[in-house]
Amino acid sequence: MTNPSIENLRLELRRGSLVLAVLAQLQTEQYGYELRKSLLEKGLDIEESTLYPLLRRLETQGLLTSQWRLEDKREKRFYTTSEDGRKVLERLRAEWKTITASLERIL
Amino acid sequence: MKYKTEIVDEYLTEVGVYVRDPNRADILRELRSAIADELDAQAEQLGRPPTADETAAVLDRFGEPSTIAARFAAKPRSFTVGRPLIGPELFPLYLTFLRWSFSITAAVFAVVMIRQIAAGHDAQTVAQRVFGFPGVFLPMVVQLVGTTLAFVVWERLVAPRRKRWTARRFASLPPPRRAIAAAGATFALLAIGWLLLPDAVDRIPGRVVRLTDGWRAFHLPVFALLFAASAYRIALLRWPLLWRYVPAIRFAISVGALGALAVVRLGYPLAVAQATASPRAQFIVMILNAPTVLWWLWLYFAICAFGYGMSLKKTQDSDL
Repeated sequence: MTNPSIENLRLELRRGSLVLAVLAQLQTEQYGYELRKSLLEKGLDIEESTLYPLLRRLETQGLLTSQWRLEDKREKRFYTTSEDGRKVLERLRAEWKTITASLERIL
Repeated sequence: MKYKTEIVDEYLTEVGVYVRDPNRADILRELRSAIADELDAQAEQLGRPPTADETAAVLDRFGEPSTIAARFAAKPRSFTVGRPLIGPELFPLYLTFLRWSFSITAAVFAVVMIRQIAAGHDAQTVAQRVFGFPGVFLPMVVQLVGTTLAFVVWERLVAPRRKRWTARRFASLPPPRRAIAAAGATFALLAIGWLLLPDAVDRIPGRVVRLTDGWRAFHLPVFALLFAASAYRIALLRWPLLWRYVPAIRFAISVGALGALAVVRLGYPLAVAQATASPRAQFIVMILNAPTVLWWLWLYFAICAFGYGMSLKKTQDSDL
């Protein structure tokens, strides 16, 4: 199997879990850079080119809300998980636990 | 050595070219804010402002402009038959190309129709000729098939082989733009060559074809414009940062061309052939004097002036 195929599979595997991580992390309001850093501190490195489009997509889907505010003399966009986002997060969290438990047994 | 803000500006301008989202200004605003956060963090870590190379490295992480623009698209679109034949990165360019191509074809047919009706042809017959098959449909189908095939080939053969993008490559144009600039420069140089042809004809012994003063009036401004059109594209290949001024340059050239064509119209006929002239000489004179060519040029430059004028306005509106 070629390297690009492995890379595609890896990205596919990560894609769903990133949504879960972002929704969970944004239960506390954060701006993009802050969010990336906090996820990185917990071991999840998301590239900027993935994170910012993802935030916009989740906001369009109503799972996040955002607002521009001044901080340190600069405008920043702060995101937080919406009410719908929290409900989705709970369901995804349950699903995640089921899947990981199954995979632990399979692998 | 470039300062970081200049590189960031160039990067965002480039991303803006590819973003086809109604929230374009907001997307660019957010990217600018995120890039500034990253650069600030790096400056804090280094204890000094990042160099141009370090700034470029940060931008590299944000990704190639066309890629990040495609990721920001509300619904990334592609041309898919079983599997994606034209991917989301090229698809906006494909649509734009088709839109322009169809619009120009429709406009040309409209002008031809109006001119034929004005010349006394039966309106119903003219309309049937335009709207019946093949009429306007055949050139559009040919354009659709040709453009689609060209983009599919690009997607399959060219796109996978292109070098990995890096912000340092703002020292050179991205490949599609390099190709467009090179093609434009070549076309303008060929046009200059074509314009030299009548001069050569004028020097044929026997002089059965004579260029009028109208041609000479037309010569200078059109040469100047074609030279400008070629020179700025060659300059673009050498100094890619000039790309941001392209709408302004093209707008100026298009408006200048409309003025030059007005001079040409006043100078008709551009050439006259003596009764003894050969059929080939008569044909050359007919081509030189063909008002249809002038109409096409008028239409082309009017569309260019409008398009680039609008894009200038858009740039000002979303100036970040």
